[in-house]
Amino acid sequence: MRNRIRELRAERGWSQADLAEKLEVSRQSVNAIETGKYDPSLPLAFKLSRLFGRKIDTMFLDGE
Amino acid sequence: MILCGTSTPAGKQYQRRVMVTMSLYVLVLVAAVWIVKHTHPHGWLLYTIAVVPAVPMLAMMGALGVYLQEEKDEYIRLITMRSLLVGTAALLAMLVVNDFLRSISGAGALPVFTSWIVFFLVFGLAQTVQTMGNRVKDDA
Repeated sequence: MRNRIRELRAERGWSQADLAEKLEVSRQSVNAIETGKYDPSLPLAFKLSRLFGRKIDTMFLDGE
Repeated sequence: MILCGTSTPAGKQYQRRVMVTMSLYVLVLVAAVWIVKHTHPHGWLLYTIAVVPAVPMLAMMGALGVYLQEEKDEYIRLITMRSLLVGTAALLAMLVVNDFLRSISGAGALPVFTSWIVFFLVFGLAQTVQTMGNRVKDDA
């Protein structure tokens, strides 16, 4: 599943390490999510949603 | 090689537990061999001494279970679980092939301890391959 995490992170000037720290996951996980290799669980998706102040369906692009 | 997500607190804790159990294994094994060689025990005492070195190895498997419970990073946990499946598949494949070789062609049976080596070797290899496939290339 494609997503806009990298773009949203870049808008805020955060590094992958910064985002990983805020999410309490490894940098590897952030990279896997950004590159679409891994789709996060609902709890992690909600955490991203709260962090970026956006609805989940505006961050993850369904059917692509 | 990143075994069991050593970058996470749970991974580091797992590594510590494995180091302790491996050290215990070496100590207990050396002690068991020495005792049997020099005191020639028999009966239930001999069986007990023979089984004791297996305890730290079983604890190592237990540490893996505890790690999976403690790991908070869901992606790292997924990689570990996939790798465990690959390790288990390799172990079963080795056992099946060896069993057919043994029963049909009369080849010798592999020593049982090789299953332990194959499992952990393939488990570690599978983790490394997945980790390399997701190498962090660039960052903002």
